[in-house]
Amino acid sequence: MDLLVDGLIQALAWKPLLFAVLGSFLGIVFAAIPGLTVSMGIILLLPFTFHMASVTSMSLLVGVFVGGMTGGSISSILLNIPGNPAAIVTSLDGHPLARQGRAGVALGVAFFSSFLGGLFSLVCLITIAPQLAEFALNFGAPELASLVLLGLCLICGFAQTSMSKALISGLLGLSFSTVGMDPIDSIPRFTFSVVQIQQGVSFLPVMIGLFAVPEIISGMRGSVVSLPDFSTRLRDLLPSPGTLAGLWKTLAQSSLIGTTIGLLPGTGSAVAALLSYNTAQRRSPEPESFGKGKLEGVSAPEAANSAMTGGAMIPMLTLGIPGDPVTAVMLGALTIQGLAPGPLLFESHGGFVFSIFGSFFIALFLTIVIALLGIRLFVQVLRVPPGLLFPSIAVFCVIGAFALQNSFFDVFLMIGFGLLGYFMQKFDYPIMPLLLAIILGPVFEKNARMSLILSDGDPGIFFRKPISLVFLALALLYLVSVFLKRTSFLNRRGPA
Amino acid sequence: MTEESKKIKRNVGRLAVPILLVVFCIWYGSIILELPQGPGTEGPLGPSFVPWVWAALLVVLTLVDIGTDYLGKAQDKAHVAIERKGVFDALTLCLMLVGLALLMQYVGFTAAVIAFLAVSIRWSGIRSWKVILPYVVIFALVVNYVFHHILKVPLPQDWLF
Repeated sequence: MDLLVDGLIQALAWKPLLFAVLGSFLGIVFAAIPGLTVSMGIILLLPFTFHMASVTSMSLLVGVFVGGMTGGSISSILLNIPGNPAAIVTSLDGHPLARQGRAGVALGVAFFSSFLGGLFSLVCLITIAPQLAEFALNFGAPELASLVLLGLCLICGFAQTSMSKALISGLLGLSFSTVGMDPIDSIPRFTFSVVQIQQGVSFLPVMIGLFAVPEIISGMRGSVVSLPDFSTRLRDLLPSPGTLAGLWKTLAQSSLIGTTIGLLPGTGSAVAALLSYNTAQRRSPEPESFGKGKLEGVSAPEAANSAMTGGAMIPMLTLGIPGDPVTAVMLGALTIQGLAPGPLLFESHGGFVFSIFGSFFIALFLTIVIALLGIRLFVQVLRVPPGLLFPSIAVFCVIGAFALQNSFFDVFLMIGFGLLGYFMQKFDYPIMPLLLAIILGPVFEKNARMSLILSDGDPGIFFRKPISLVFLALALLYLVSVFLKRTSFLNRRGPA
Repeated sequence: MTEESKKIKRNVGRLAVPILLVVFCIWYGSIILELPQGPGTEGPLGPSFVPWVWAALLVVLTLVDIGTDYLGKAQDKAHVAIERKGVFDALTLCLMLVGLALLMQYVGFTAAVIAFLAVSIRWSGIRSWKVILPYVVIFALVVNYVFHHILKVPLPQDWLF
């Protein structure tokens, strides 16, 4: 409890608080504008956190994460264009409400549902994460290698059309992760005498390239959108206590679904939103009214996608395994700050971890205040022509890639990975496995080789350790279940 | 375009990525062969051990991908054809970004960003110079000031600063 209070006090210092406000604001903006994503927002802001104190930088990034989960609903409800994948389901009932002239109520319910879902997941994060981290302290090299292998197998969860494509994307990432000094013998590999990649492929330019450049390419030629008229006055946005009380069941079940989904790496907020919407519809006495402008249809996905944030941070902070693109970027941010997420983080930097929880709590409050008070501004942001917006973002991408090492090599690396990301998307190879593999690859290699060296090359070491065996069994079980699920799905669909 | 030529184009499109992946594996494998062994880690556990595993798995999965595409349920056949315009847009933007990076080194940040934004905004469909010029000049100056002077990012400078 003391740690929690300390964390809150650290997060309430003027600098972290200021950056939390900025983060929440930018998170809403990035999520609200169709074509921009929360991941892209965090990636673009990451280079500017290098010189910040770790608490301040995490306040900014957590603010973007939390703000982003709320902001997606704005364009979903007003334009029927989801600002991010998590808000796709929100548009099903949110936009019909806007067409009925009830955009203000829909936005208000979405903001409050996001807030309550996020709060629920924060409570889970604070309760579960320290226990899990304490347990993970028992892990040695074989257990860590098996755990990372499990994380790598979860890559299949990102498969959109084909499991083999997701795995190929992951293996490409693993191949890129072998560039640079070998983690055991410090022998340079695949460096071609290029000094800039002696320490490996820089994570940040790769991330900017893979996530931001394809979005810029696709978004640049977009057109200006038209918005419905609605009142942006605070009293018209605030849902009545009666409305919220009527939604408590939906909020509770959606928050639980969102947090649980967040715990499972590779699932993502879109799955959480869809699952909670389906559950709300199934349990509703009027399931037929869903899709025609029902407040439960807005509340369920918004509570779930916000609740996912806290859930996704549990494996990222305790085990060093990111659950979704945003937590993968945050993992990179922590690494850049010289902090290695995992069980040791709780022991060596316990105060810092609790300051993240504090920042999360503050970001939740800030987001709802900023969203309610700034809705008029966010509506104006939606009117910015993509032709002006996306080239400007391209400039920020170049600055971001350059700022890491003041090197133009990183800018060219970003452009190269941007092109790769664009073609991967076009050929249905998911990008996320590649990024996850670049992050997790070196950790796996180091621990797997250390284990094998300890056992004189006997791979049995991974099976003799009970925790390692459990992780390997889980990895196998996951692969088999994904394979069976996809096979039954394809059989149901029949030949193309 | 005849049905036959469409079919050939589809098959070439479907094979292009697996062929590229196999070429990548061969190239990657040829470099692995040349990697030196570390002291005391001769044999299978040297620096080439893990890259070998990834290369081998990549080859196997590429073959699986080709197999499922041709012999299996073939869910992805429709996705291989990408629009020529999309490829052109992607390459144009990347070339413009390369131009921006090169120009920044010679003329400095502000002038390079003004040139890049003017060209890219016009290319993206906004035709009015009355809109473009004030926007790009103000944007470049403000961004340079914020990043260089406030955030201390050492952007390449020019005669303007």
